[in-house]
Amino acid sequence: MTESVGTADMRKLAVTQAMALIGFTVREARNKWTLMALFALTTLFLLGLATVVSVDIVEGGIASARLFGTIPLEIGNTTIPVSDAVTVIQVAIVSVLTTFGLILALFVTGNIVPLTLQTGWVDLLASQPMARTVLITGRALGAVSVVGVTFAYLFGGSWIVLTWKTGFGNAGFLLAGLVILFTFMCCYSVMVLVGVLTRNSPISIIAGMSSWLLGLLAYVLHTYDEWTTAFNAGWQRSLASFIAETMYWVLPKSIELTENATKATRAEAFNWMPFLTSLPFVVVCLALACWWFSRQDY
Amino acid sequence: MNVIETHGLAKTFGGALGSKVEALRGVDLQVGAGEAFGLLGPNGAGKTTLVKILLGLVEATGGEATLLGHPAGTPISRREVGYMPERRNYPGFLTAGQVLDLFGKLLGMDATSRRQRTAIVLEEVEMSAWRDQKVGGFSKGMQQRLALAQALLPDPRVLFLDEPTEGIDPLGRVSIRGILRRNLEQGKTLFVNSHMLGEVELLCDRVAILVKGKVRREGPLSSLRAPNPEYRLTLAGDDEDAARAALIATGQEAKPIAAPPGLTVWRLEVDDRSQLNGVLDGIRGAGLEIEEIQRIRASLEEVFVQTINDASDGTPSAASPGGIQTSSKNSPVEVSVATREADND
Repeated sequence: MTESVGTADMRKLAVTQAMALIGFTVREARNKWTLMALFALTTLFLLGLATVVSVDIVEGGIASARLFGTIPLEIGNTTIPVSDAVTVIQVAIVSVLTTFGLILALFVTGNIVPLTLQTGWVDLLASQPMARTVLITGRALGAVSVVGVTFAYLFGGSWIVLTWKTGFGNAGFLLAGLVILFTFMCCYSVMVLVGVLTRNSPISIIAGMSSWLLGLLAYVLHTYDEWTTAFNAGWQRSLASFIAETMYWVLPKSIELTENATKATRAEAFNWMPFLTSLPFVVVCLALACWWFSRQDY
Repeated sequence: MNVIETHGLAKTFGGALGSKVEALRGVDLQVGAGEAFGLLGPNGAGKTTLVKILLGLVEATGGEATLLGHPAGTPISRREVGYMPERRNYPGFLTAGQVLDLFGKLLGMDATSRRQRTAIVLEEVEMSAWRDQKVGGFSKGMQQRLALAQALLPDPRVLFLDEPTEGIDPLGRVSIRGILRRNLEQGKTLFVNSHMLGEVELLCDRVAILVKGKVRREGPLSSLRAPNPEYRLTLAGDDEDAARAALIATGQEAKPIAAPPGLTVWRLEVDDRSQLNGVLDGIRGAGLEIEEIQRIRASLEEVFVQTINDASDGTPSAASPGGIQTSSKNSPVEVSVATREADND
């Protein structure tokens, strides 16, 4: 009975500890100039978006659009639906964020795990009444929270500006933000694993980006399988095809996730397969990281 | 009740591909509640490894250890434990108050308790004025005090201290020693891991000397430092030959010790008081004047060096580079212990 009460207490404590680590990670990120620069850039972008976009809407369509309120962008006699114009802008934002935004997010969060494992800090943290799994999971969730908050600011801000300026609110655009956040989680799980293994920020950042690029390569090899004809022997073709297929199904579906972000923005049918097949990758990477971290001597 | 127990505790670093290093080789220790226990040993003796196993930072490869009745290394065993490591690396952007708040959260303390305990421990280590200052600007001594405050935060039953006064000025040492004594009086158990034998001598009532992963000596400080049946005899005058002849006549080996001008100093080994008086009578009978007679009491340093030498078959310990240096040609009594920066077991 005493043991079960103790176990329940420890579970409750684990949740409190995870929350504390998430809060600490956010505070830590706030103290980095990179994250502040990112927020400043986002603010500038939102201000720019609010200033640049100036549309005259007549009977539900854009009659004319203006940049900075002075240079008229004549649309001519064609009436462009507001929803189309807003969607085009949002797809452009999503396209930029699925590449540059993702890279920036990986850079900003790249040193969170290696910093945790610094001598003199890991000793202090790991000697608390806390399982190491909680420590590494709390820090990883903290990193996701940091990126989540940044994305929320960017996507939420853009959505508000565009809705305010055009009167058209596209909820799919907000969903696209979550898709990109999931893509980040896929890459970040690799960074956590490599960070725990190497305690090296640059190597873990490279590993995170490589997982995205390998996912892209795997998609290309899976989709255009003519490349296997470059091999003469049948067994070579079979082996090459097997490797490519394994890569495709094991690695995160970088391209398909990106496509889903765009689909969400355009309010097109969502494809759940990339999520369902990428999620095990995230889980396995984090589980391996926790397992390795738990058996290390510090 | 023992708050710390180890039975046959062993740790071997390295594996199948690399060379193996046996850091601990069957350590048996018991530390009772309210004790001030000192763990001594030269570099690489396994002291830090032992503490880290108890705190779950290192996994034992053999034996058993319990902390407050729980298997060592489990989170529940660390709930009422404070740890002040030798090296600490607090994030520089946090203030002292924020550091303690973070660790309070990790201990599961509610906001009120965190606020109260933070104020109490900062007051205790005389750091209240620095509560809102960033740790990045702290001196080594201030970081040391903050680490002590953090270790005291949970109001622990057991306090592990790894080199608690390393790098601290003499006044700071006195202050930290005072804090630790007050905690001892409150019934807390202190486990001090240190090279600074003088500090251990002033703080601990029981010590163990760990050499090459094994406990070579253990016991109350008073029993380890038990007086030797040896005396230091100072004679007036500098006629060493006459003094030697007189001592040999009384059956002594006549071992000289370095002496200031105008005096000769000798080491006497006697079985009891009556033999000592016989020697002194013989010296007086030879017309020599006694300046001083002093019973030699082994210092902890002596015990420490002797233990290391015994463990190394009389040769200087390979496990003590930079740690221990014997400085006297004439007597094993005169020993200096050099401190060092770090202990990486």
